[in-house]
Amino acid sequence: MKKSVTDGQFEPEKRRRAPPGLRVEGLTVHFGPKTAVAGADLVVKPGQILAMVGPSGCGKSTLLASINGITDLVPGVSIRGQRMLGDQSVDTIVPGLLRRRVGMLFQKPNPFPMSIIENLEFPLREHGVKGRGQRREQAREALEQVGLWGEVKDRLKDPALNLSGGQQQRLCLARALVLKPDVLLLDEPCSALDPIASARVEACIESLRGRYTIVIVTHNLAQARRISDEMVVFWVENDIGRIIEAGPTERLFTDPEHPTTRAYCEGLAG
Amino acid sequence: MLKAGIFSSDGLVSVVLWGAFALVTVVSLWMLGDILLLGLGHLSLDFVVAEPADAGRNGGIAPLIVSTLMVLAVCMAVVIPVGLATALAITEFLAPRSRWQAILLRSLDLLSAVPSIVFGLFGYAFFAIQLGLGFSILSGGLALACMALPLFVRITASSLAMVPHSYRQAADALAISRVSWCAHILLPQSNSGIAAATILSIGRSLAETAVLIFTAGYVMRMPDSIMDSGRTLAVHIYDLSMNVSGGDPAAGATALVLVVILIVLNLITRKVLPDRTF
Repeated sequence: MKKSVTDGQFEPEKRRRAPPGLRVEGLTVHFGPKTAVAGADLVVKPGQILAMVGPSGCGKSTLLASINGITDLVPGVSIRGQRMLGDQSVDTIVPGLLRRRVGMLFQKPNPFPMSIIENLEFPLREHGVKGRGQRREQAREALEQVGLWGEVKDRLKDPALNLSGGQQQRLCLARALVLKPDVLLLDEPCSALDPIASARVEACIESLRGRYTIVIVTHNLAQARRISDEMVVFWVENDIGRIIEAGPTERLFTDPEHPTTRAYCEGLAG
Repeated sequence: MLKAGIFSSDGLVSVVLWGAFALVTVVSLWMLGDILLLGLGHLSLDFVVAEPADAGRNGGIAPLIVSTLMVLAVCMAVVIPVGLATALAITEFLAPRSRWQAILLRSLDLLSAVPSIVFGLFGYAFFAIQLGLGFSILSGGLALACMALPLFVRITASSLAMVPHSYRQAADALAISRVSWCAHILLPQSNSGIAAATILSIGRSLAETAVLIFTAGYVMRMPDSIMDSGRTLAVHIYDLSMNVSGGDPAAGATALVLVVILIVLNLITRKVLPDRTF
């Protein structure tokens, strides 16, 4: 497992148990007549970071969002295959609990049009955390985890949309963490940010290594190499997204088996 | 060589746009000026608080203001909850481009195009006769609600549909319930659209005469309840202008009061439903 590159700015979190791993077997997703991704297999070990890379439109985000059942909400979708969270099938977990256990961060920061603190307390209230004191404490913990507490503690009631793009994205990460998930799904979390904000978000992700099982979709191969333990490479074949190679990140960069992976990692394809 | 000045395409577009702006402004000011000239001399505090006399030529319009506000209250008490529920059904609960959604939207478009006199006849046949509500403020308000509902629903549904998809994405990922999503994000974010729908519905209802002549009646006395018949300001203006010789000054003054009520209700709506979009 890689060594964290954080500079100590993020408070260590007191985790209660090891996160579960993830396993996807033979996953095929159709949107109406179109097959977005077919026969996808992947395994993420507990506490590891797995990066999904590949050109646009090859089914990375579709597969990612199927892990917490967001893809299932799209009208006309049909999903086949196994999705396992630890030793439990995702299909047997009620959606509310599934999405509490599997948090998600999107490409574009999407805080709710509420105050900073309300962005964290609203989901907590929704998931039955009744005491205001407890909600505040969990919100503070989550903001500390993403290194945002110091920046916003004196203006918690300000509109979240007044924050900078990078701060908004870290607030969204805090919002996912506030429900104490086991798994985090990150869909190109840095692609809409400037390099400095992107580095801070990346440092946040690094700081969470080992405490959460993380799957990240990224187009930034350098980022994938820096932060992931394992990597899967997607490609489009006959207009259908498929995983062409999977394995330890370093091996995929230095000794890939598939010629397309080599070309992609060397910037010659995709 | 590019043409310059007002003969260029940009210049012509500017002239057309400024012309349209000037036309709308001039027509509005002209109408307001006409009403002011006609009714300002007749307007006084007594006119607002007194009972009408001599078929409305003299006296005041106090019972008519009360009737108008009562009809409007009945109308909006139906339009706002039913309209919001219908708009939410269209945007949130019916599958996009589904058969039921299409049927509902087509029905609303059809109702929007129905002339108000038809709503008047329907209100008379259904509310006044069939349900036995008679010529009453209740019949008038309900018939008016049928007329205003399609407009309210269409504007509200459009404004609900404009709430950014990214908020919904975040709410889905956090398993926010549909009720909480509607109550805490969707509706507050659509405040300005709902306010616009409310204001336009109020405006249309306040101006309506055909529907009310058939349902709320003509009576000028102070109503005791919503089961009483009552004459609204718009019906009074129509009656003074069309049927009462020498009634024009009182009609002008009544129109001024109607405009003031409209402005006040507009301000109240904006205050109750402030623009919450950031």
